Amino acid sequence: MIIVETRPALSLRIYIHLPFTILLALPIFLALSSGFVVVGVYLERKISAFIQDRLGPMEVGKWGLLQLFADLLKLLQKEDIVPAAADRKLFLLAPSVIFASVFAGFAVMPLTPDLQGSATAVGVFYLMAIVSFDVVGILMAGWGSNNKYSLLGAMRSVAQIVSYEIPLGLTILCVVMICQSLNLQEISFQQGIYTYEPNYLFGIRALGIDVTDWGGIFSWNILRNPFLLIAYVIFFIATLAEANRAPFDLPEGESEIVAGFNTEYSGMRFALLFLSEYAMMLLVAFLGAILFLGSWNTPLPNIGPVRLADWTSGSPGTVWGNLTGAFWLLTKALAAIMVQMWVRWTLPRLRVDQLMFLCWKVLTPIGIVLLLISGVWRLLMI
Amino acid sequence: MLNLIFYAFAALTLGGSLAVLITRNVMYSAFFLLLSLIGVAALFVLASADLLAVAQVMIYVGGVLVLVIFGVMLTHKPKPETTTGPQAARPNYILTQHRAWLWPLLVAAGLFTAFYSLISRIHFSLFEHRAPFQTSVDTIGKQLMTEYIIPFEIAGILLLAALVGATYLSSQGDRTNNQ
Amino acid sequence: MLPIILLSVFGIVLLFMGFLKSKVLLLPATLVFILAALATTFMDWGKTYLYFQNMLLTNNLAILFTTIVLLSAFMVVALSNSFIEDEQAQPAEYYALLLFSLVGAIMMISFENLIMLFVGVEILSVAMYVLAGSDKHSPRSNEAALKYFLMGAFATGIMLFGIALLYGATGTFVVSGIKSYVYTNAYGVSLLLYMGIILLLIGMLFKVSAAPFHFWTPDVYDGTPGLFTAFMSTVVKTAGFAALFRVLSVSFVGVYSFWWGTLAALTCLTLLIGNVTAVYQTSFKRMMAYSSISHAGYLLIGLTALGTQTKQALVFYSLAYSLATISAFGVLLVVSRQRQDTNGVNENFDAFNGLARQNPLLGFVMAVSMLSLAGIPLTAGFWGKFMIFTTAADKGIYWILVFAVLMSTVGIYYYFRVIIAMYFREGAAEPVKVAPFYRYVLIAATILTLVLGLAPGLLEGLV
Repeated sequence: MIIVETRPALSLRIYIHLPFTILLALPIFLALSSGFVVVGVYLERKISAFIQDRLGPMEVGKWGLLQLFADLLKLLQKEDIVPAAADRKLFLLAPSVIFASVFAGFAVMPLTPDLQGSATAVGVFYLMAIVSFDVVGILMAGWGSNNKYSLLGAMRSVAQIVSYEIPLGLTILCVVMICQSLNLQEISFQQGIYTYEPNYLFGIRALGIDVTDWGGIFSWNILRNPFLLIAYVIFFIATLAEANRAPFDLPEGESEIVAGFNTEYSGMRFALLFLSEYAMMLLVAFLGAILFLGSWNTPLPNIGPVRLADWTSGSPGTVWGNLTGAFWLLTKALAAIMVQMWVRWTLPRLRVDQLMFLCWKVLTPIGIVLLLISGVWRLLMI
Repeated sequence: MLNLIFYAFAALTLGGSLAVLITRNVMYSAFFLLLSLIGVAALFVLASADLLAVAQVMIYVGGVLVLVIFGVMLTHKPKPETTTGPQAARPNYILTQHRAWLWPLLVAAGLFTAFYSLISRIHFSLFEHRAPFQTSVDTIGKQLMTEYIIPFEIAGILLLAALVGATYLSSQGDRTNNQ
Repeated sequence: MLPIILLSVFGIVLLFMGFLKSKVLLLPATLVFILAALATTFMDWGKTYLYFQNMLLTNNLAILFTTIVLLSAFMVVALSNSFIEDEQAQPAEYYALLLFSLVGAIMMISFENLIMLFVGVEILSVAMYVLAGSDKHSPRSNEAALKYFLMGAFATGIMLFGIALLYGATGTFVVSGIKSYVYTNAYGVSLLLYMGIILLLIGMLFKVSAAPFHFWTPDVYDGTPGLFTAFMSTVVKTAGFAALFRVLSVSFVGVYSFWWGTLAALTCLTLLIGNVTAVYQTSFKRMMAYSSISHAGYLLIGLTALGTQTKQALVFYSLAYSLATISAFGVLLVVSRQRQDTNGVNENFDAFNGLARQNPLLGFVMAVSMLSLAGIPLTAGFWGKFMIFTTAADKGIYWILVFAVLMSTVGIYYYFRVIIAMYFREGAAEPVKVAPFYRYVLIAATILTLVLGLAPGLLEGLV
């Protein structure tokens, strides 16, 4: 009953903010995803250096902080080479297609309670479609380069992305089943103190412990259904593969096929491919945070009179609410990215058969079982 | 404004389809198909069928189009005349040999006339009901789980049959593997 | 509607049974499963039920068609003992696909909603595409599968388009809903409806291999392994005609004047092409392919002359045709495998030379089935043709009747070629070995054909 009454109110608010948020969300995300490369590359280098007991970039600027700008300057100056035997049109177009498809994913991302590009009701489904869109651009790059390594890389990438969409989709379905919505903003609202439905401890109503007022980590999806923690692990592994990150970086395995589908690219086009890779990392990190880790909600719960959740998250519609929301979401996303980098520098690359084994014989069956559990859990929640 | 968007996407769809037909390079046709499919998805959104639009992108772009591209890649390509020298360095083209245009044009014109006269003469009963934009997710979900539960479930049997068939046909059913 | 659920579950069970080392259990298990489905079919006998929110409708007609389909499947599976010896074959997959395709066939027979028709056609077709190519090492089988798949996918697309247009015209997928639309708008039926009818008919006629949509049939029937050809030419055809009858007799009977002329023309074309081309074949299997086209033509007469007698005639004809076809293919299978020539299995007419002398039983079975297909009295085929022709006479369409009789005399020529080869030609000396169970199935089919030929009234009054 409560659901029926509150949903119109939610959608109404989104509609009021619609023109404003679209105009605001686009530049913010553009700046965010390109600005993230600056942070991300520096972070990646420093983390890898730390893991390998090195110092990393130290020369340019204090602690090598300006290293990336030096790199960018270098890339800008470089000649934009198109190989003689390449299919010129496809070759030139491919990086833009890849970046556009990744960037289109940010259109439905809620950054704060009020800031979201498009409050479409099919947000999650749209994101999955976008992930598969990426494949076309990669194929374009691989074929257009007319280089066997590029084509091999593209083939591997497509096989990997298409396969890992299955466990990815299954884990996302688990969340959708718990939340009963495809709208990312609605999923976000459910995981905090501003929810419209009561939350129970571990989602089990029979326990009778109402945690709606506690908020914080207790209303996150990974605690609303503890099995979603496993789902998050699968989600994380699958997104690593979707983003072509190590240990699933077969499409660009340096030691085997030079640099995969971006072998022939140089200069700014290479930078654009690089940018899309980091944008993809950010996108999936955001998605994981929104679906599993409470979105823009604070992790700190209200404990009796100590209203930690109330203090650390403002109510939606206020400036404080937006600021805290953005802070928490970015923090969670960045934490996930740190883990991505950690994984990259500690695990060796998988073989193709191991990749497929992991996807079809390990992750997919577990995903299906989790889906079943989530269905049952949803029955416990109401 | 809405009309403008509609015409833009209709033009995208038509232009994409035309380009698919006109270009001789099969790979370009495949990629132009992408434009046309996206245009159709956008038209679905304008027709208030948001779930269908995303499904269109997911199934056709993510699935069918990738298969088409793989199909094109696996197409037999004639060897270049020279393997060395400047002539060898040419892009990977797979061109269609088919240049007949009269019959296709006649068939297309005939079909166009038929469909046009059909569409201009029929009466769409839903045409008068201008509904505001609303999401179709809830309706589709409820319908699939209530009224259309049996087709929905039986489609699983269809997919299972297809899956079993595909694995059977592609498996290496040789004696060497059977032990 | 238990059989649909049962067969789906049984199919999955069979897939799991494929894990077992021994293949011995598979054949009897499949037979038991089909029998169980057949038994549950009769639970609704005598009543008319709508199932699953107007998705399926069972009545006596649907039950009879289901029985024919399940009976054909039972006999085809019973003739499949060769899989057990063939180490390359994967019988679990074959049987599972057969059971799944039966689910599709039953849905085609008893659909009330056009969506169910579509899904049913798809399930049946997808399973048949795979089974057509089940002989993976034979280029002919591969070609058959590919051709069938391409043509079938195309036909399904056309059919789906037709269904969409019907929905656009009437606003409903339900068969009886379309009927009431046609009746309430008797004078201003939307053009979309006509377009939808045409496209739906084209799609369905494709599946039952009626001319001019028959051109895939000879190659596909020829290339497909014989057992599955038997399945294809009986189950698919029966289900297809049941579906056609349902949609024509319920939904579109109000616009009979619109479609009957087209259908009559197609009927004559089908009869002509099927019968005349069959005369020129040297391969028995190809002859059977054209013969199946011509039988589609006879069945179409019943639909063209849609009347009160039609359903009875269709049921009887389908049953007679299925029995004769399966016993013919049964004999062909065992003969072609044991009388191989240099090209492997010999499926030409000369494989039957002198068969009656070495194997009187096989010769007799084949002779009865050929006589039945040709429509000679004292066999079921005669009464089938008789009933079909009666429907045309009742409706007063005499020219089609004359044409059909003329064509069936052409048919006698090519069916008798087999009989002549068996009884009047010299052939190989050693007899063909037949497994006992195989023999019982053939005998049962022959006896049924003869009994129906002697007492055609057995099926009367059931529908």
